[in-house]
Parts: sequence; structure tokens; C-alpha cells
Amino acid sequence: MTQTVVRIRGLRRHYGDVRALDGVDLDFDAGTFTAVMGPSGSGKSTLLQCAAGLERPDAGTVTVAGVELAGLGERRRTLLRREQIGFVFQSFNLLPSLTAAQNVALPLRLAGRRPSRAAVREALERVGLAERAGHRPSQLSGGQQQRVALARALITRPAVLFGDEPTGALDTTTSRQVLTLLRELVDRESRTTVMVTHDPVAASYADRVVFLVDGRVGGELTAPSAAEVAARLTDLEGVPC
Amino acid sequence: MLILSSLRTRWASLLGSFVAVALGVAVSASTLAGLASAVGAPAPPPARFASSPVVVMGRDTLTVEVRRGPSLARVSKKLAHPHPVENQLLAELRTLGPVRMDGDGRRDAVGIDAPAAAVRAVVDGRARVLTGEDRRLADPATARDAELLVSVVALLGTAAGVTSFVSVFVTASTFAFVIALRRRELGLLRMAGATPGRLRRTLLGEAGTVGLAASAAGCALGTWAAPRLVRALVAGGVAPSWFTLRAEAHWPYEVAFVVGVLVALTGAWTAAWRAGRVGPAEALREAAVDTGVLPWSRKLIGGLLLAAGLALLARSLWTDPADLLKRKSYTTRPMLLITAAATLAPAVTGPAVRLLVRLPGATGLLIRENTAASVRRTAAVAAPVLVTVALAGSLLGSAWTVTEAKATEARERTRAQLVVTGEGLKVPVAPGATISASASTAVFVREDGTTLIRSDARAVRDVRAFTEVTRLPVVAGDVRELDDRSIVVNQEWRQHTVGTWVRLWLGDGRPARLRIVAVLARGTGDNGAYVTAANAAGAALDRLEVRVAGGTAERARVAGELKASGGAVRGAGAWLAEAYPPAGIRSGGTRTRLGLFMVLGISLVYAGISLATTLLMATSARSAELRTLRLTGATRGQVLGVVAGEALVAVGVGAGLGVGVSGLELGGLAGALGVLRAPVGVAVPWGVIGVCVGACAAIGVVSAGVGRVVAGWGRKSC
Repeated sequence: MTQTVVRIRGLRRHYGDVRALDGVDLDFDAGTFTAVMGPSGSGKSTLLQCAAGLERPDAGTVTVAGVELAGLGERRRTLLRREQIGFVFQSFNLLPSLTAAQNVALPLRLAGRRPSRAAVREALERVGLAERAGHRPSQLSGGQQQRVALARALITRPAVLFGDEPTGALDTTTSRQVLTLLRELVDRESRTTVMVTHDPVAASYADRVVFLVDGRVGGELTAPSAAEVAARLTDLEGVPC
Repeated sequence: MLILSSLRTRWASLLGSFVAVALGVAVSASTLAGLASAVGAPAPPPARFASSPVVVMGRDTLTVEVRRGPSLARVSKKLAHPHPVENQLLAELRTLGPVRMDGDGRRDAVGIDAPAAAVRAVVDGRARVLTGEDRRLADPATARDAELLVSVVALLGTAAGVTSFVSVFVTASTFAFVIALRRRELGLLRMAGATPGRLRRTLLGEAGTVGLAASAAGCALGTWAAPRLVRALVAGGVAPSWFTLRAEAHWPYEVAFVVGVLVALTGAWTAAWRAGRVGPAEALREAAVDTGVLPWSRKLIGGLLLAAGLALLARSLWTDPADLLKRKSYTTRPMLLITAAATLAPAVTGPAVRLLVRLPGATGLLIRENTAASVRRTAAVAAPVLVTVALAGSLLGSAWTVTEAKATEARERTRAQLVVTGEGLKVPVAPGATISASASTAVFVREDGTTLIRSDARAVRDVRAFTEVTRLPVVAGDVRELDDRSIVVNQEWRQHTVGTWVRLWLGDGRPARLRIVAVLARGTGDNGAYVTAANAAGAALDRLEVRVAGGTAERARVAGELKASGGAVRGAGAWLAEAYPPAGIRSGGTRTRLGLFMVLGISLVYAGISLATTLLMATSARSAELRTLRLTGATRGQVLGVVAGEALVAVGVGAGLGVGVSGLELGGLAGALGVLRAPVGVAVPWGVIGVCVGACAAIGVVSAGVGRVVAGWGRKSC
């Protein structure tokens, strides 16, 4: 039986008059890879940030690994994020003064744990960067930086991994590498992964694609191909706003 | 958002430079206004014999011809024992008109109601004839006031000098850091087609505008502060009571204004020059980390400054060690080393932090790596701390070291157990006690035919007793041979060969030729000269140094008998403690404390402002990096901990460098004391250094925290 890791119910978020999210219900099950797509301004990023507890919604609930986010204070939410949620962003968000290995180990150290050298090495090995452990972000290519960010997101063994356009800043080849890596992590380690993207090819790596239109769920595809996704996206963008 | 955040950064940086320049101008303007008033001070009208048109004053100066270039000049020095108006002259004056005298029988000057020409004819060079404003010279307050004014000039001059140095230093470091922060923005400008020259002009224009506005504000503040400063000087007893601000002197404000603008421009000059070399590609780099390599020009300049500082110290030690003990010298000398240390700070920061900072946990790791990686930021924060600590350490440390050395020297010089001090002492009969009575006097010697030197001396009554109660640091000859035709000198004298004859003038102006029988070590400059009482006519006994053969009971009996001398009887320890109070914050008079307050206070205020603005700028410019840290799982507390910890480590780096500079200075001073054969010991003002570092640390932590909050504005959760 599949277990729901992230449960979203009736999620609303307004910025002044703009309704970024207008009543979203979604479940992300354990061990699945979901892509969230939609035209610009459809509320994809807001959805991700609310789901990850980075933003507080105006209404609705978000439950991550059985914990209801709304009831938590800032500190408890930070701790929950640290333990249960991993992130990768379009801009890789590595700390410039730390080496790759130090960046990867940081979440554990922030939690007061001392990661073993082997664990850090293994995390870097999984993303194929074991030999770059001592390099600073400025000495790494974009794809390498994103892979370090991925290793960092996964070292705490989070319940869910969120990606906000994780391949947005990468060229085609490195994008493919990162996406293949994400796919492998889902298949091999049953990682629950949710990724916001606007790239149909990237979305085709997912098990399921959820389309957002004007802050609502506007349909979904299961095991899609890039062509199917692109076609659906063109339809959606044709809808007058 | 970008514009807003850039405005926020710019606001802090512009405010920082503005405040630094404005404060510098305000302090310079008010100190210069004080100086202008002290230099051209209109003295009060004559008070003594004010009703007599002519004052006749006994000779009180020694005037000697010296060579000044090709011609001869006459120089005068105040006599140790001024001549009274003689009875014979007084009688002759009485024939001219009514003579006014002080009630207490003082005869140093008399007033006379007679035509000046007639008085001059009668006096005929036997005394000084004063008319009009010159009659003030007979006022006892005049000499005292002149001395006070000299100290006012010294105090304000030092304050103005230190302020100028610190304000140039701080402004330059603030501007340099602002440019480093704006590297991306400058890169974008370059990419958009701005030439390096255009970029430099823009930055200099900015600096000039800030300088103009800040100088104007500083002058306004100066006009407010100057009268208050003058009142504080009068209230503190540093300046004579009639000392007021000369409102008609405008030049201090004009000078301060121009200097303020120049300081802003020169401070921005190197930074602007560096900014011109920012390549267009810099805009593309997400470089929050310094490349770690110092430009060779900075290394070269830092190295040269360090070498020059050390070379000057070594040269003074070699050629003129006594110079190192002088206030003027130890006030200016550290500035070179401070600048050198600040220039080289980025080079040592990284390795030093990695080596020394061992903090546990993620916060510790982040503090260490961020501090070590962002050497420019660390160095910019460390610089003001460095200035304050180094100034406190070298200025106070040097002053205290010299004070302690003088005290130790005095303690080692005496073997007396009891000391009597007072005016015009009588020598009582005290069997069983060796009493050496002495008077304060002076001798004058012309050196190289070009300068007239006054040397303080003591006139001793009984040479045998004198040698028993003292232990002088003799380097040649024998003090016991001192007689009415000889003198004991110290190595500071140009002529100090035992057995040679030296031509000099005694305390009352009488020329004499005395044979050198002993030479004392140069020491801290307090060893002076010794003559017999016969060579100090007119000197009243003011000190009895007593050695008692027996025990405590015997000593008590002698102490009782000494009361007949008419002075205060004390143990030698108590007398030394009073004559040479131990060095410390509370020692010295109001004057010393006020000077200390001005110099250190100014640099501490500067350090605080500079620290606060640098950290505000740096921390708010790091919002992206700190946001990342939050997203990685750091709590707000942890982020604040990292930011505060980095500020503390940077303050620590500055404090370490400052202590290093102080150490070099005090080491040089200790070396000089050794060369001069004075007691060697170093007094480090740890308490004051601690207070400075503590204040800087508090300001640093608070402004880093505020910067973090400012960076968080406009965002909800991070």
C-alpha cells in the first residue's frame, strides 16, 4: 500500500489581488517522482514553497511526513525542514566559502550531528563527485554544483525532495545528467521527489505530471512522454487568462 | 527588489563614509579653533601693580648669544633663582616717585609711578623696566598661564593629529570595502560600456559629494563643539580661567572643510583606482569569496610600510634612544606600523584564522571558513579595532612604561629611609642620623655654540652625607669628589668626560667654570646634574634625605626630631609613591586624563562607527548567502550565531594585530631603556585594551545582528 508523504488540502495563497494558489488539493506518495508544470504565474513555485514550509499559506493545510505544518512555529518548521525535507534550486545555493564536502555535511552539522567522513564521501559518490570533495563552489561547473546541492539535500535522508527548476540554469547535457540522477534516486532508493519545471523533457523523467493553471490543478498525466507534456502545455497556455 | 536592496547597501555605505568624514571635520574644526585661540590668545590685562604705569622687575632670565646660521642671536631662558629688586635700586627709585610693593615683602618686582624714561635712566640695566601690557610679566599667573597654554597646544595638537590619522584611515578603509562590495555592480557598468576612467570619475564624484556634504555638516558640528571643548579645557584646569574661544578666527573651519573633502577624495582614490580594474566579467561571477590573492601592489606597500616602521624604530634605538621616550615620538611612530598592519592584514587573516579558530559544530565551521575565505570583509572589520587597540596599547603603554621606569629609577637612586619636603627647610640636629639637605636649582650650558640648554640640578649641602643617602647610577668618576669647583653631569650632556672643565651659567645667571668629577647614566632623563650649595646662591632647601643607623624605634625618634625642619616628614616609600605615582588610568592629573580621553575616545568612537557601518553593509549584502544557509536547515539562531561569531573573530583578528603593533612599539621602548641604562620593564595597559576590545566586540555583534535583520526585511520566513 502506498503511503502519502505530502498531503495538501485547500491551499490558498494571495499576494494582494493576485491569487497565486486558489484551492489546491494534492497528494505526493512515497517513492514517486512528480513534476509540477504550468505557464508562468500559474503558482508552481508558490505551491512548492508552501509545501516545503518556506511560506505560510493563507488557508488550507500541508502535512509532511504526518506533521501538520500550520501549527508549527518558525523554529519547529526549520527543524522539520532540516530533518524531513531536501531542496535543490535553480541557483545552486551552495555556501561559497565551504568546500563541496563541507557543504554536503552542513545540514547534519547544523542539526548538531557529526557526519562521518565516509557518509559524506558516499553522498558525493552517489552524485559522482567523490574526487571533487575539497573544491569550493567557484571551482566547480554548474552541473557539478547542482550535483553537490543534490548530495547536500539527500544527506539527511529526507522524506521528500523538492526541486525548484533544478535544471533551469544548466545546459542540455548536464540537465540530462542531473535528471537521470534524480530518476535513479527514486528508482533505487525510493526517494519521494517533487520538481517544479517548465521543461517538457525534464518533466518526462517523472512518474506523474501535475499541471497548474491560475492557482488550481488543471489536470495530470501519468508516465508521460515529452511530446505529450509539450502538447498539453501548449493547450493550457492557449487558455485565456 | 534589486534596486531596494542596492539602495539599502548604498545607504549604509554612504552613511558610513559621511559620518566618518563629518566627525573628523567636526573634531578637527573644534580642536583647530581651540589651537587658534591658544596661539593668539589675548592675555588678560596686568593685575599686579595695575595702577602703576611702570613696573621694575628684578632680572629673571639668562640671555646668551648663540649662533643662528651666519649671524648671532640672543636666546633667553628663565632663571632658576630670579634676582629681587635690590635695596640700593629701590632707594634710588623712591626718589623718582611713589613705589608700590606687595604686602608680603616679595621683592621680585615693584610698581612705580614715574615717567618710564626717567625710570630707565635710573635702573640702567640693573633690572627690567616694564610698561603697558608688558607689565603682565610681573604677574605670577603669566608664566603659569603660558605653561598651561603650551599644554593646551600640545593636547589639541595631538588630538588633531590622531583624529586626522584615524579619519583618513577609517574613511579609506570604508571606501575600499564599499568598492569591494559593489564589484558586481561595477562589473555590470563595465559590461554596459563604461570605461575604467569613467568608473573612477563616477566613484570619485560620489566621494567628493559625500565629502562636501559631510564637511559642511562637520563644520556646523564643529561650531557647536568648539565652545564646549574650550569650556571643558577651562573646567578641567588644562587652560587658564580666562581662556575663551576667539570667534573671529575662521581659518580653522576653512581648513577643516578643505581637509574633509580631501580626506574623502584620497580615501576613495585607491579604491576608485582599483575599481577601474574591475573587468566586465566580474558581473557574471557569483563571487562572494575573495580570490585570496593580495594584489602585489598592496603587498609591496604593506611590506614597505612595515620595513619603514621597523627601520625608524631601529634607527632611533641606534642613534637617539632618548627620543623614543618622548611623547611626541611615541604618539606618531605607531601610525606607520598600524597602517602597515592594516595593509597586510588580509594576507595573514586567512591562515591565522584557520590555525587559531577552533570552534565546535556547524556554527564553528561556518565562522572559521567564512572568516578565512572573505579576507577583505574580515580585514575591513578588523582595521578599526586594530587602530584602537594599537593606539591604546602603544600610547598608554609607552606613557606608562616611561612612568614606571622613572619611578623605578628614582627608587633605585635613593638609600634614604626618611624624606622631608617643604619650602625653605632648616636642618635640625638629629644625632645618629645622616641628613643630606639639598635644593632644587638649574644650570645652563651652551652646546655647540648654537643652543642654550637648561638642565635641572640639585644643590647639595654636604657631599659626604649626600653620597650616603643616595645610590646614583655613576658610569664614570666619583661623586664623593664633588666640591665647590666641580659638577656631576649625566651622559645627556654633550660634554661628559671626567676631569674636563665645562663653562656654564648657574641658577642665578652667574657664569662659572666647573670640573666634571662624575658622569651619571642617561637613564630616562631624570638623572639631572649635581652641584654644591655654594653654586646655587639664592636656592632655598626643599628636601632632606635622611638615613638612620638604628632600628624602628630610632627611626621614629629621628622622624620626631625632623619635624623641627618645618617640612613634611615621610618614609622614603611614601615620598616616592607621591612623587612618582604608579602608572594607571587614575594616575596623572586632569590634563593627562583629558588627553587620554580625547585621543582614545576619538579613536574608539571612530572604530565603533566604522565597525557598525562595515558590518551593516557586509551583513545586509550577504542576504542571499544567509538565505541559503537558512534553506540548508539553519535556524534563525544559528544564522545569527554565525554572523555574530564572524564579527567576533574579525574583532579578535584586529585586536591580535593591534596587540602585535603595541608589542613592537613597547619592545622598541624597552630596548631604548636598556640602551639608556634605565630600568627595563614594560607596562601593558591590558585593562584599557580589554575595554576597547570589549566595546568593539559589543558594537560588532550588535551591528552584525542588525544587519542580519535589515537583510531579512521584505522577506517573511527567511
